Amino acid sequence: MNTNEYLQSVLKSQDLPDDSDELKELQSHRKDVEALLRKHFAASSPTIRYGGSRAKGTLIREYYDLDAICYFPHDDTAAGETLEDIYNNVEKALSTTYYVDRKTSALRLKSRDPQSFAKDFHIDVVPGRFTDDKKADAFIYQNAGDKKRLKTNFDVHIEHVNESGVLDAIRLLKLWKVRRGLRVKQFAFELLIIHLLAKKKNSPLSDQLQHVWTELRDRSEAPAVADPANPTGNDLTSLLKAEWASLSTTAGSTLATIQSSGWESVFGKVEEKTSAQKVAVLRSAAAAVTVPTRPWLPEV
Amino acid sequence: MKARAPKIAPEARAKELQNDLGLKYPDFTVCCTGAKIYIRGAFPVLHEGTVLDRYQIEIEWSDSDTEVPLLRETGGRIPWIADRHMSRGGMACLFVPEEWLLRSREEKTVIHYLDGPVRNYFLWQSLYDRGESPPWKDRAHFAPGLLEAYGEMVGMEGESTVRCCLEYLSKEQIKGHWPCPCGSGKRTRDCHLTHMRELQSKIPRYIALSALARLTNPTIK
Repeated sequence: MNTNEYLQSVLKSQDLPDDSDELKELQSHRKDVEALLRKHFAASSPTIRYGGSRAKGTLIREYYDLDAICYFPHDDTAAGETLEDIYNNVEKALSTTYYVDRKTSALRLKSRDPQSFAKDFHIDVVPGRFTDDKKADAFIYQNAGDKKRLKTNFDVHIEHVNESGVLDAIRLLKLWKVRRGLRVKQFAFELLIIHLLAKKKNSPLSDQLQHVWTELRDRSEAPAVADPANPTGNDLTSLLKAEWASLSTTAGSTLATIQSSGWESVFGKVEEKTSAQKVAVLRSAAAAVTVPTRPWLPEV
Repeated sequence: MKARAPKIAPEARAKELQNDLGLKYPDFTVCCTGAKIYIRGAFPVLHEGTVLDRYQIEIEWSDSDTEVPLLRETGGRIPWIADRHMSRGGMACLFVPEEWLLRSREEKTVIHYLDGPVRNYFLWQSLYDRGESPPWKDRAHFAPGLLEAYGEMVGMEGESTVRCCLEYLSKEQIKGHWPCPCGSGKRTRDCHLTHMRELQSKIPRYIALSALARLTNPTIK
């Protein structure tokens, strides 16, 4: 197996088939969320649509999510006077059924069931308000950073990533980012990759990855990356700048790892095991533990 | 005297940790926020060179002799419920803290932590997740779990006995005329003095004090 065949096998191992339990569960929660929002904000007729990594074609099994946008008409005030009110009111509505984690612009949904409390449903609800009657551009609230609102366009983002021609590289670099716990915003990271690979679309996948890591390692600061939904208005540099040192150091050590130990040391062995096989290996691993540490609980 | 870890700037310590992790856990990223050191990434549950599962984690590292490293599962896979030994806020409860603190400094490296308690915890979770019975018994929740662990540490049983043992171990000296912690009614010199002296050489005072404080308030870090 050559390097590019190996990378393709890594990508395949990160696929989530349509009939997978994870996606079925996601679809089921998605229906419930939409019903809840439509019922709660019936007077405002929100537009609810779905994006996220699946829509963009960048889904990986190890870290996937569904973005559910919930945008209100530009002249609606029933859902909230300000963007902050809308964000808070949508959170309040969702909190009747879910444990809600407030992110910068999105509301992450988790279980409120006492038996599975805080288990992640992989759904981000993004409240906002359309800028006009065309229902294309929207403003979303930001509860962190200097600006309180961000102009965005759902379709433009999906299309920009979907048609970037570098989806495989984005998926593998996302896996690299997730496994190394790098905290750069995925949305900004994807735009950065597309920017860096603008002239490398036809290169082999391994060259694309090495090019991105080399750029991350060698650039002293984050390049200016335009947001396609608002090219002159949104400054993504600050999002990248905050994590640049970590990205740069980690990219450097990844390149060194490839040099010294090869690609498998970066993404690991690809092994397909059935559920029963996995349990059997886990059991034998547990049986081999000589000093089991016994978990405890200090509080509820 | 309380043992002290050598002082080192957080940035320098983060670099040391990154180097220590490099060979076995190259995926982890170590970074500093103020004086705190965080280790982030996907923890691979390894067995004979094979990755059996992966969990997104964040460790707030501590070299302190009185505080344990704190582990959060950040991927949202494990619910925050008592049966999974996950407290509210997503903090994983790997052990009774004094069980870790009692180890020698050589046995408290980041690799020991990951290979031992962290791997054990996630092996346990991976089997639980797949509907399997846990591979070993967990501790009882709250104070009863502490008494179990401290009882094993001092080699005695019973709440009053364990408490009394810890109180004696928290003193500078154990006096022979004190009542024996075993509850026999004899003086310690006529009963368990040799045992208590042996314990004194294994369990430092600050660990005994930490255990007593935890029995009063199990939630302290």
